[in-house]
Amino acid sequence: MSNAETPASVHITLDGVEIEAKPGELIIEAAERAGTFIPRFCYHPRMRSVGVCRMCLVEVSGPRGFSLQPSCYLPVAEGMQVVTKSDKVKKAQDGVLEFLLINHPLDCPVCDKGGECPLQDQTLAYGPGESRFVEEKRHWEKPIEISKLVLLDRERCIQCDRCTRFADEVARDAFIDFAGRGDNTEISTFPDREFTSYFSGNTVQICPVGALTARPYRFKARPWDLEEAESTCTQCSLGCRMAVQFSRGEVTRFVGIDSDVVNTSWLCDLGRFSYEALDSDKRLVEPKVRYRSEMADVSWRDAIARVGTHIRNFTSGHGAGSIAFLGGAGFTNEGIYSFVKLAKTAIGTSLFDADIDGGVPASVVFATPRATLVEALEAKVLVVASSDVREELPVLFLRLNEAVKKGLRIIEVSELETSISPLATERLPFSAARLAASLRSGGAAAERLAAAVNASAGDAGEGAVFLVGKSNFADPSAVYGSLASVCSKKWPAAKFLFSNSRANIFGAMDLGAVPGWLPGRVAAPASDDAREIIARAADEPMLLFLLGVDPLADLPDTALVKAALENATVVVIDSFENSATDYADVILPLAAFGESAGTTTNFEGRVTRLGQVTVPKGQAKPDYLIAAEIAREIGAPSGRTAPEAIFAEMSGELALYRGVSYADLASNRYPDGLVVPLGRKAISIGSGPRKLDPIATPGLIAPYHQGPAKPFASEEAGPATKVDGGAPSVSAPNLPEFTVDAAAVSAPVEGRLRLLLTRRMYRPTPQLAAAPILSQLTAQAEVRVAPATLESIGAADGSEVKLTGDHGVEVLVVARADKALPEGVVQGRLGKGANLLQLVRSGSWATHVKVGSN
Amino acid sequence: MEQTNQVPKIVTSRIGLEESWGIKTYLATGGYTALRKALTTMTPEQVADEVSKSNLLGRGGAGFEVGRKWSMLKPGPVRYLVVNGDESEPATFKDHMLIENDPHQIVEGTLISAYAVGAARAFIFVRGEFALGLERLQAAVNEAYAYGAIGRNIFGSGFSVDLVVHPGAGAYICGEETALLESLEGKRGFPRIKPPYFPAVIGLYGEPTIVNNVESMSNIPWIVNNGGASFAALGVGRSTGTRIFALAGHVNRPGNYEVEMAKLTFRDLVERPEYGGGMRLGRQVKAFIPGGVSAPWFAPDQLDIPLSQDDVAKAGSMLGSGSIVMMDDHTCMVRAAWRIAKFFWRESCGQCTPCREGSGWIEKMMRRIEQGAGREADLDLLMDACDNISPGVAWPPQQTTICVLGPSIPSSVASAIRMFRDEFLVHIKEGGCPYE
Amino acid sequence: MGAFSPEMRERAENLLTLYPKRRSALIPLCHLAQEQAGHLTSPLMEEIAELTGVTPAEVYGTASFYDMLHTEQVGKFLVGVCTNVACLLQGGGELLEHAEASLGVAAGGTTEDEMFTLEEVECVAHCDKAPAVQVNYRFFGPLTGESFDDLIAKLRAGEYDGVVPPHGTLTRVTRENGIEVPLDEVLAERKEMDRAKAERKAAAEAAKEGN
Ligand SMILES: Cc1cc2nc3c(=O)[nH]c(=O)nc-3n(C[C@H](O)[C@H](O)[C@H](O)COP(=O)(O)O)c2cc1C
Ligand code: SF4
Ligand code: FES
Repeated sequence: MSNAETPASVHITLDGVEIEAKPGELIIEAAERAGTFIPRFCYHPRMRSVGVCRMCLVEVSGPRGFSLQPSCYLPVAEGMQVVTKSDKVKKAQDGVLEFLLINHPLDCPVCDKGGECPLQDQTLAYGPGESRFVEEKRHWEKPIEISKLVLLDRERCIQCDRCTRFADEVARDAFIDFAGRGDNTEISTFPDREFTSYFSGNTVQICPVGALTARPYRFKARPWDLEEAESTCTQCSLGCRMAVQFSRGEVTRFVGIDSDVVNTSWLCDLGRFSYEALDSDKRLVEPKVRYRSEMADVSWRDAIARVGTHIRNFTSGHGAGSIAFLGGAGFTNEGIYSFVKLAKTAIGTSLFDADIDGGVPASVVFATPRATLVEALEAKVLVVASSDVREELPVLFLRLNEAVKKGLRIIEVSELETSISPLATERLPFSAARLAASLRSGGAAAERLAAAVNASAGDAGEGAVFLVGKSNFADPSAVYGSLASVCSKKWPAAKFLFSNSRANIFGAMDLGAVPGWLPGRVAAPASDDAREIIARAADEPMLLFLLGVDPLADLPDTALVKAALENATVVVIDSFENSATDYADVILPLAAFGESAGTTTNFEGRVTRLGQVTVPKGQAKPDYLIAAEIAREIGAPSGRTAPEAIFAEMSGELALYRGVSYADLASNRYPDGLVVPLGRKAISIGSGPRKLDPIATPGLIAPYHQGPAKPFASEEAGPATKVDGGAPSVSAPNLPEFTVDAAAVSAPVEGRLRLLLTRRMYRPTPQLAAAPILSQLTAQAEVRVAPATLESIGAADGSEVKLTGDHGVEVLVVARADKALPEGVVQGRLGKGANLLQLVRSGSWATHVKVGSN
Repeated sequence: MEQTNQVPKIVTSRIGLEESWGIKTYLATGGYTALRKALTTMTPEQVADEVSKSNLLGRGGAGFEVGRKWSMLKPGPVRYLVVNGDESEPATFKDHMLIENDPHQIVEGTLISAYAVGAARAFIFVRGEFALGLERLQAAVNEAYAYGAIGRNIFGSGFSVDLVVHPGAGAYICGEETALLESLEGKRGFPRIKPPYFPAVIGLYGEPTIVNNVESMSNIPWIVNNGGASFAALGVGRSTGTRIFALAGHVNRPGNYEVEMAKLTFRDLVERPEYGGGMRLGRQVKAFIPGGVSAPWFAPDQLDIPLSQDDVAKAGSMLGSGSIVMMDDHTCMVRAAWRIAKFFWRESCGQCTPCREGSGWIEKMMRRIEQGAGREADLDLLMDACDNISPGVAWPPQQTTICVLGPSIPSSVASAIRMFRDEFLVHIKEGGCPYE
Repeated sequence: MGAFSPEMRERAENLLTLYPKRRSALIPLCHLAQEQAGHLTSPLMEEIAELTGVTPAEVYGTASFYDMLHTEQVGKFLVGVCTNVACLLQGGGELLEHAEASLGVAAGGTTEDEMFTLEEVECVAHCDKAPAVQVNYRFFGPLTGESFDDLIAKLRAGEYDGVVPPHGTLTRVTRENGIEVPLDEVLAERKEMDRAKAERKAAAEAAKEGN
């Protein structure tokens, strides 16, 4: 056997019928594909098998006859005979079920899991009618809160090892473990410490019983009352696929969908529990306009009329160029398209910037060959020169961790240690600017990167993928544009992904909601970006539309932003209150997640459908409708008002979307949407309906696909070939040139330390503030400083220090000693309590601060 | 079946000598000559060959040929040798004695074995509760270093090896070899699934590893000095050499006795004055456990079975760890079986459902019966619960669990019910224990 | 500031060198911690986590698997009465009952003066001296109710100091130092052994064929 090539398939006999199985496949998987469901509890297709619950025992032939073996552990072998239905198997499985039940409370009627519990289901299906157990059951203290989000009811735990395996292997957050021994085994955190994982909600999703429950969901609904719709999470640009479950018009829960190509069923807690905010009183639900100094509720008609008046007045008084749109990265594609048409066609202004974070610019995003996530995971080498992946695109961290176990080589370029550092084969401690400069003109940094990349992917970078993003939010976006662009020049065969993380930022780019671009990746003359617009607004009369953004929280130069907001006429279109609403002249309430249909585009360019499960709260309206009403008000040809119709227009007019239909995106054929433009291979899983595995993703009612049914390589050509006129062509623009003053970036400044600004997952956003439980997790702003520096100013770890920016701005912030910091820098972590962005001056190549005692 | 007086004491020759645990005594009684011989005059294969020829059966319980196990070691750049001194099988106390009283013999056997299998490092895992043993074994290792028997270039042979004494922390399951390896890796003692985790293939840190018992190791120096053939000349059939039997329970002289394998019967061991010296107070044997509490019980009419691995197996039980527990006619069998069930309940690692939950359930039922609250239906229920852990409740057992702790649970309970059903019924009918 | 005393920290670091992987030292380090503090305090477990490269939850989870590791305070003397079958047959059960009455605590409890924690233990491999008792893992037996009380009195009076070290002290003999032969050196040597072995095998085969 040893030298023989691995056969394409092996043959086993399953209950007397010969079936084909894949080499290495587990019996439980092979049987399932052949239509035989073997009951199980501990097995989870996305985690290492442990074979502990023993529910999946079947008879397997071996050298010494048939024996009971765990089918979730044993791989198939040629000629193997498997019996899943004998009396012996049935007795063993019944026995396991009875054993599991003897200590399990019979509180199904009050248990959150009741109705979607495999233990309950299997007991009904296979179990004994009456309990033979007359002894006293095991008792534990009442449910304990193991984190703000997760409660543990140890009486219900069946020791399946799923939550602990998830925490350890998948999330690398082994903050829970088994404790005790034998039938005293319990799940436990360290005494007095919480299960503070960004991914803790997944343990609730995979717990096969009601032992782990989510505080936000607790007692909210019964599974049998739930309806659901497939959707895409819009908390970041990874776009995790999920099911939105709702009951009587109210969103009750998000459940991750096992999409091979995106999130393999995992969600981060920010995404999973973000629905908490939907119902909050911080929602904007009434149109408002300002009368003298007060905002007053008005009708939509009056609010839109006021907006129309402003547009006409500004156009006639100061020209269309006095009207600007900021934000929109949280909108649907249809909404963005409608607003871009409104701005650029109906009003005639080119001022539109959705990339409020100033990430990698669209010109580079369009000019470089884009990778899919799967390509990145299977790359010969993945270069990560990005913001901290776990903070910005949380579930991508899980995917990378999984890929590294399967052999992915990661080269990290980062000045700071990040969540990726422990996964990386090598970390090159360079700033993006230094690396870009070095790649341009030669140097040690470039040589080290070249050595690392070329070793796996050759000089041209064939099979290499770069993930580029803003590792320092004090840097201008040109630094990252420059880095990506020189990398693409040096490795022309390499592919790219970008970690600009706002939900639909890539859709916004594709649809021309960024300076210099029109819908469909069509180039337009350059125009001002958000920072420049703000600077202008501070001293010219301007009409500013804020599309789901809070410039005070998201832009540098806070003082300037404030001046701009005070000076300008501001129209806020948003779902949640934020600090900019104070400056608004008009507030138009925007439908929130789940309240409107449409599509969204993730960082690969994958377009997926958003599920609408309820009507907008109060008077709120979907983005595309708001755009349409404004357009009508100013006499522009009234656009289409249904997402299907708008999408049809997009795919009719824009080559980028050609061949993609709204219906396709929710079909069984493309359950995870399509990556635009088509023409490359579209990745799809399976052609049948997604299959439900009641264990792996409890609670999914509709038939969804489960498990890694097909390996990544199962790509099939997208529908492009079917489209008349052949594959659409969206030609990539030329790589742009950036001038980066590398010297200015790295030159030390006497008495000052260079500021690196980073964000965390739980950054203070209006939506987080509106979520009662999640908001407790909001990160506090802090500055990490070398212990010696702290000592030199007489400050202690945890005390407040004063940071003074280049332009004299002072911020008080809590300082933490950090031994791992490189020399000459401090790390500011954005968060609640202090606004560190105000230390940054728009347009400066680097930000330096003085650290002083308070 | 007469035992001749010429039978050598192979592993217990130093027991009782003054400071038998010190290197002085050890060297004075031929210590480390075997190591010197192996390292300087034999190739590793020659050493392994002698061990194979001896047909030494593992003394840890499973009784697998040591030489054969060594030959199954998967080649690999790193190989480990781990010595199992976790002895926690109830009523087994031979390894405890060896560790405390002749630690150098274990060290020497380990070093020779490390040479034979090419181990990169050797670990002796000692049951944590053996505090004195740990002290003496560590002292022995320290002495052996000073003497030059461990470390770099041992005896100028060019062979180097390090030996680490590792304390356990109190968990019976860590005697099971794969749980032991997990524990040695600093984890909870959860047995690994075989296949694929056969230690000889995937062992410590995932590398090929040999796990052998302390008594097995103690035999190695003698085998090297005297040749495998002389070892194999002792005993009968597959049961070669001598073996320590730990005799406990209602005998006049409980203790460890090294005897030639298969030459004596259980009765000889119990009755002869130099061994058990007969049953306490001259009472009758009611039943006995032939090889540790995992083994099914024997009745008095099985006393004449020879102390041989195969004969005991043929009779439906096992010699196991070499512990023999005698129970006289004043013993409450329900209570004895309950106590053993309680042991397994307390020691189940908790991984597999049938073992974790089944052990607790059986313990609770047994306790209820012993305390007088049993029901007649409980007996069938007990047997059925046993059957759900070990289908068929037979020996050798079938199992529904990862390791054989699970199917060991039913042994005594099922033995007691099968052999002494009436005694259970008396408990149930009288609402209490008749022996109290 | 570490939770381990400087001397213990040094011993801990020494222990870490004995194993190819740090985590292997976890249990020995727990014994050390108990030697210092009697039981595993949270700061000690956190320091062990840092030393072995795991999370504190994993240290806690691992330690709680083992009977000898205590995450809660125990008495100065851990008195374990064996009631497993060999001792049971010789009165171990009755001895435990006597001990409970005599010490005034149920098995698992600690006397008010924090001198004794009474445990019902599984077989301690002292069965030829049944019924057996262990005090801080030093063994006594066979014991009667009377000799048990006598033992307790003597322990209280300090007469066993030296024989029975304060609880948590597993072994008073320590390894003199870390690993003496580095693994890479051993591996090079093993490679050489394997090569020689292959050569011998080839030679033997050649000889056979030659005949
Ligand atoms: C539950 C269980 C407990 C065991 N306990 C011990 C033990 O304490 N000591 C021991 O040497 N072997 C014990 N074994 C056997 C070991 O798994 C292993 O077979 C043995 O250490 C191999 O050594 P040997 O071949 O030299 O006998 C146990 C096995 C099981 C299943
Ligand atoms: S809490 Fe749930 S997921 Fe975790 S081990 Fe228990 S039953 Fe399994
Ligand atoms: S043992 Fe196979 S599913 Fe649990």
